[in-house]
Amino acid sequence: MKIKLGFSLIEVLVFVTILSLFFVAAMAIATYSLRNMKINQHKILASHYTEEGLEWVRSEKEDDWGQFTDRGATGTGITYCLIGLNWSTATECGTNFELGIPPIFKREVNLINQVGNPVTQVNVTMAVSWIEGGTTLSIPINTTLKVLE
Amino acid sequence: MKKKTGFTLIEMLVVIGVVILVVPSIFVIIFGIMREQTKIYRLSIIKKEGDFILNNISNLIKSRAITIHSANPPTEINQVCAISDDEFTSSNDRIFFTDPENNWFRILWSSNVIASYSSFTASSVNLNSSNAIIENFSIGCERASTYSGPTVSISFEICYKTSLGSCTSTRPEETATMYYQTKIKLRNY
Repeated sequence: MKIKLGFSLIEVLVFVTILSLFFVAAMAIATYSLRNMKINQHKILASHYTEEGLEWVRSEKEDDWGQFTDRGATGTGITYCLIGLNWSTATECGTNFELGIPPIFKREVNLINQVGNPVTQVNVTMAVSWIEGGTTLSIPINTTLKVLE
Repeated sequence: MKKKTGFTLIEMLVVIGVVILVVPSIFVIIFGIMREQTKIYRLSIIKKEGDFILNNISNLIKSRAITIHSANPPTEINQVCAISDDEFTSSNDRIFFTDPENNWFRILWSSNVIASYSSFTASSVNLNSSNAIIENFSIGCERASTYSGPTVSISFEICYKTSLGSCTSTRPEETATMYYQTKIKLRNY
């Protein structure tokens, strides 16, 4: 009888299956971590844009309190779309993701004046949001600005 | 008949074909991960240093500064933003402050570095590391009225030093730039 060399079909199939399972798992982990890193990168940028916006709002407040309180309103307040650091767009951003490089973020700030005349306290909500794989992620910061600080 | 050993041509072709398909995709993923890692590392360093500079300067000016001066040593002649409606932007990227103990300190931008100097310790401290470059620095002050303190405004761009020794690079993952700006109102004036 001829001596058989090599592997049988079953052996090869089992081996190939195990190997392919291993590779698929490794690839899945790699792509998952890659996606996570992308999200983390965007989170770092978004939190910077949020803080930058808040710092700018605070500087506007330091400049002129009276003018600053005119920007807000009581009740639900007024929402601005802060693409650049200016008050030019007194509406929500909607679907205009125009902030950052690449422009994938939008930054909205909501100013709610607390009841009083003159206004002594303004609640500020700053939020940077962006779309990541179909879901909208957001980094919000709330703060309260007072006339005397 | 001679006994055949080794692989046939077809077998070799199939194996090489599979390798050609698999290896590039593995490398694409590995390099993608490395690129992202570089970018995240640089962004986090830049954010950390930028936040540190902003906090440090803000706290220093808020708690220590009394008067603002344009030159060294600070005297009444070179005081700025002392009266209402006064505005001043430093032309040589530095501003001087006196503190409650009659010492003075200085915030200065020079050759990509923001440094603070104190006459009390007589030493200059760099606020950013050599990995970071500060660009487009601007410092100034303004005062709305004599009844409220002057505000100091600072803005700068901080970026990670790329292999070219500047903020720009041919590889987008090497660049990380952030813009910072703030206004600080003096508490003691």
